[in-house]
Amino acid sequence: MRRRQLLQGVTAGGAAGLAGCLSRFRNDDSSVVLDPPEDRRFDSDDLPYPAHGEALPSVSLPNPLTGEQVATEELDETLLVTGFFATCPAECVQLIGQLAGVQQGTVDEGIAESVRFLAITFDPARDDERALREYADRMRIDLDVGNWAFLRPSDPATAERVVDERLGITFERVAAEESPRVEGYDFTHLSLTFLVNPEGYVERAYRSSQPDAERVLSDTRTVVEQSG
Amino acid sequence: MDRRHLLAVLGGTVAGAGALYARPWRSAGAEDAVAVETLDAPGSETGTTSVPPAEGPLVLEFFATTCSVCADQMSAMATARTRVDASVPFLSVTSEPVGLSVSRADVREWWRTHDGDWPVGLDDGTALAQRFDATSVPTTLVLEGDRVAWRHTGRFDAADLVAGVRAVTDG
Repeated sequence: MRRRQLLQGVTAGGAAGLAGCLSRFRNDDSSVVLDPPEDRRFDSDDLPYPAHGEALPSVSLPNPLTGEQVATEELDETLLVTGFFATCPAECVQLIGQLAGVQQGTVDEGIAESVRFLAITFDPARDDERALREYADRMRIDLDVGNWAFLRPSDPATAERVVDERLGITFERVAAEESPRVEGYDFTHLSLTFLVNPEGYVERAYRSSQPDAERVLSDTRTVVEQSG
Repeated sequence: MDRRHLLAVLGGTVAGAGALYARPWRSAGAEDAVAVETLDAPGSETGTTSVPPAEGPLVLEFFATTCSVCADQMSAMATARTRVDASVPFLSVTSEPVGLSVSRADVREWWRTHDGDWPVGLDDGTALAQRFDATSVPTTLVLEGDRVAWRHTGRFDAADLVAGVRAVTDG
């Protein structure tokens, strides 16, 4: 958070004259570099999840593929954070598919090391290490790049507390007999992806099951470049 | 074809199509028709097609190469095609980020592997999926001009799609 403190110090020092020449001062809230989204319909504080200019609640979860504990507070990259479940036959296919495209874009543009993807499963019972490896392969996620982490809460109750209550990616388990589309139980859920700057503030909350990969990549590149 | 080129095509298409798509409850505009790049693949040729069509039926399917249900449904699509009027066009479209994690060659290979035999195209920037609110795959629609006459998300029987098409062509 050092940069943020520095910025606050600068603005407090009467740097209003700089506002016109430094793009990162365009916003009233200097915690973010992107302007509010043009298509936004609600103020951030009216939304039930963290949105533009708000801090991402800190999350600490294990990465079952590496055995590491990943704490968002300790990361200094630009983050793309989403929730999903791997047996999801439809909407997550679109969502994760677009994010896999963004990941490849970060490689193509040479910014892969500045961006970290955190895909959190809210179905820890089924999404174990093996299931997640197979899922990565099927969804064209490149695990060798090293900037994509699957995070797995230890149990369904933790998933509920962290993904639903803390991040606002609401989900609800649906019994097998009420959903014919997958074997076993299903979920209804919000499709929500956060673009978070290195200081931990939300630049974008894409509420879509298929955010356009090119748009997300462009936003991500801007955040990486302007966060220096 | 890159995005700019597609948008240029789209601009040209929409200028003439606005009046056709005008509906009383919704103003027609540039966002209403989408230019879809079609691929050189079995049953499909390189080109651009405007969706929705100015008039007449179109069976439009959204799929993804990463979607196993979509793979399963290819046979239902193929079966339905043999049972409806041969003049009814079919178009399958992927909204995947082609050019990033998915290549045109990947789409062609998937198409060949799953015995596709009709036009297959790319939904650049998910514009078409947004136009028809196709948030899941597979989503299959029967259009008559820009009117959605039938739509289904997930698995379907060929007979259901055939009935959906015939409701338009026989009506």
